[in-house]
Amino acid sequence: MGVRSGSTQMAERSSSEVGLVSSLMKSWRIASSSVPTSSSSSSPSAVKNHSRSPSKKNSNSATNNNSSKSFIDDGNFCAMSKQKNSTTTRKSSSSYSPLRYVSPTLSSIDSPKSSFFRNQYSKHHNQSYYQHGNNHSTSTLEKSNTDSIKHDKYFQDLDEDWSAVIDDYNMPIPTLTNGGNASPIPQSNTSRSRPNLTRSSTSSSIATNAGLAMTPSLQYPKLPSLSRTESPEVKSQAELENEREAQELTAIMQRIDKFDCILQSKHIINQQELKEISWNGVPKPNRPKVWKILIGYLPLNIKRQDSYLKRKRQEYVNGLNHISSNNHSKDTAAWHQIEIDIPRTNPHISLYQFKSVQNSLQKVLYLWAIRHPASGYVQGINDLVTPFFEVFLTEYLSQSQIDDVENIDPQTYLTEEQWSNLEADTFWCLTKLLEQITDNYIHGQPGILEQVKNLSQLVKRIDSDLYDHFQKEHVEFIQFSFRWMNCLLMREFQMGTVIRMWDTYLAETSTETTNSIPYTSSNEISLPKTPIQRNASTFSTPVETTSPSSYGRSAPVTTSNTTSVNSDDSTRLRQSSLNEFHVFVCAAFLIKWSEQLLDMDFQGIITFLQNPPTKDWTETDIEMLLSEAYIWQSLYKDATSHWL
Amino acid sequence: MSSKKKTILKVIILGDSGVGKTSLMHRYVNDKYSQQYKATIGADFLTKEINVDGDRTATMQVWDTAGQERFQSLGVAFYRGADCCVLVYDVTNTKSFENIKSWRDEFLVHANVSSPESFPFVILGNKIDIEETKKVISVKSAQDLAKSLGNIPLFLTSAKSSINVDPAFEEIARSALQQNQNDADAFEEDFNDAINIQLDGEADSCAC
Repeated sequence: MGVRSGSTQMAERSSSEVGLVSSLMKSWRIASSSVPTSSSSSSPSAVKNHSRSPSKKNSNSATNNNSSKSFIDDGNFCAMSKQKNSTTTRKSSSSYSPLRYVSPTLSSIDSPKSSFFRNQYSKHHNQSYYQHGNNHSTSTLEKSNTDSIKHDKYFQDLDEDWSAVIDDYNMPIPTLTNGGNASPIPQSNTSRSRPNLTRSSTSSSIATNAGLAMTPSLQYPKLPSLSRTESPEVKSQAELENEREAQELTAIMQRIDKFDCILQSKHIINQQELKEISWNGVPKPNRPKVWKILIGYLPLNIKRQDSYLKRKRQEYVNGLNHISSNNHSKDTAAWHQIEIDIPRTNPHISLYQFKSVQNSLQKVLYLWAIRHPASGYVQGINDLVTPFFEVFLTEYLSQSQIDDVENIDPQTYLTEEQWSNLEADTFWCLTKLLEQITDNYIHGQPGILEQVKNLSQLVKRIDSDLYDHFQKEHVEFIQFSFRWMNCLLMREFQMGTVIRMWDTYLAETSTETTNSIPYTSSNEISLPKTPIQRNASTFSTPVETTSPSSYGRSAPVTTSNTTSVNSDDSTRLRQSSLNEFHVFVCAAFLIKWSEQLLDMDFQGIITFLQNPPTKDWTETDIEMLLSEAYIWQSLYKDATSHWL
Repeated sequence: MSSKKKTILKVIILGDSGVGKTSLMHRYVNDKYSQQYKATIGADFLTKEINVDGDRTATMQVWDTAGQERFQSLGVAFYRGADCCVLVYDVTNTKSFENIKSWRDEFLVHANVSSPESFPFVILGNKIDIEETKKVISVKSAQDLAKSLGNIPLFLTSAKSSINVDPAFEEIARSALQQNQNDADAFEEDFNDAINIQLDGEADSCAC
């Protein structure tokens, strides 16, 4: 842990945004509960906020950090719940708008006007607006109105940049001084950008937008009116959409470039940087390679990558040869279990129905099982292997076919050698992942029991109403969350969203397991900055006896033959990061349904949680969830060790 | 007062992995069959409203558990308060049949039932739709086992072809209801006993 300083930025900001945290929570709930059909459409831009902010660097972070700490030190959870309560009343209003959290002045304005403000705000985010003059007619407003509704009913004003929101807080309301008409903006202003923000390339275009959003609001009252006359009516909705798509495409291309840039370093890949940027999602073309690096399979040292891959792939082949030789006495129980589970793995995706794929996965899982006798094959591991398999498969597809990976039989395009390499990579990455969560699958599954307990403790503190309701209805956390832990929530989401989630999860995995890299190079990069941070990020488990000071010590360098469960301290510590973050994700996931759950009895709750309505979830929904989890973690991680 | 409250019958389905527990549950509750069930992790839960004693209804909560041995440590959380336990084997899988007894013992250890001797079990031999040549468990040996475990009712079923599923679950419901009422009565008895003891005590003191 402690490797997530990019995301840490976000937490550091959270001090000034504690209100946002709760409003974020509540507003999400509104999106998902009172407007169930639009839940997926109303969240995306809010998500963008969160998911992007971790990659920002804020020069004020130190100050923010202090205040953030003092908030936690106060232990003022009551204050938070009060805040939550206060939002509850607002929430019942149908004209609810998060604008109220942005500007107290706005909140007093009745809804038609505030919707007008939303239009204004949304316009400022649209670059084309400045290029085409500012003579607003009603029709443009309508256009942009539909445009913004399509985007996001609630969060348009928050779009793109958190700090913009904060700064907006005390800003004069343009309309009040301007009779409700937008004023033109001198061209010079548009080129201004905010000096205190440096951004990754992905958000650079957004940064400009945010800068634009800031500037006109500041300048509004002083501007002369109607100095430019080009009519925006000329611009059709389609054109606007095209431009937006073009912008999005550019953003994606820039993001891919950024990844390429990191991956094509001359000597050693900057793992820290890669983790930070990956936390917010990895573009499809980069994903196979990035995942292999994040999980600690592919060496960071570019020069060693090819030879290392060759060796590991050969080792896998040797392993297979061994199990098919006479020297190996087959573990029939494991083989049988895997055999009956393979056809039941992702039965709704055609890829996993192809005999070729099933054979492949059977081999990978069986080899893993016999090499890890302390754990052996446990149901659910068959789920965990599939994201690796599917993502690595895209390496062998052309760009245009990547989206079809779930429909094409790999047998039609893979050579025998490629099959073997694919299996080997999948095998080693599965091994790396399971190394981090070994305790989840050994006898008694202590890792999972621990996580379930932590989840309940966390919910008790974050959402005591829900916790009490569960108590009253005799709902036990293990009854619904065991599977969440055992399958890393994979059963709760569609594969596409799971893969996006894994971008973040793999960025969360500890780097101590990084193999065969000259230890110093990888470790220097990844070691947490301060001892305090290390301590804070350690999620205590009952078995954990190591003091924080030993955290930084070298973990045993894992060699190719990871034969059995490591039970030494460093293994446990290594396990903590992914499992810890996962508990926060589970908490965010559960609390998301809090409103509905509070109205249900035991049967309703269990039935609902067994089959949560996540079918239509998009990547942005997942990003929202991950961001919430991140916020909870930043608020509560110091406290978790005291609960046990 | 307890009679007015809606009766909830808790039923647990146990058995080896892949014998068809999930399919049986879905066949009974939804009258549907699918090839596409994922392996159960932890436990799944479905409910069905059933008629008892003509006009009264009860809710049957069916808990479908994971078959893999590794998950057995979970038992406690799910077995508690059960009114009937269904033991399932696959007629084409010897091992699953041999494990029936250990599943029963496992349940009794974890469920903490009041009187283990009388706790109702039902055995289901599933997948009888499969061709005869693949069946390895004879009806005779199944009946012998059921008898040896204390005359447990036995049904040969097919969730896929919907054979015998409803009769089996009717029996399960009956046993569960019986058990549920026994427990309620036992509770009442305990309650009365408690009062009696106190009275006895007073009587004793008077005698002194």
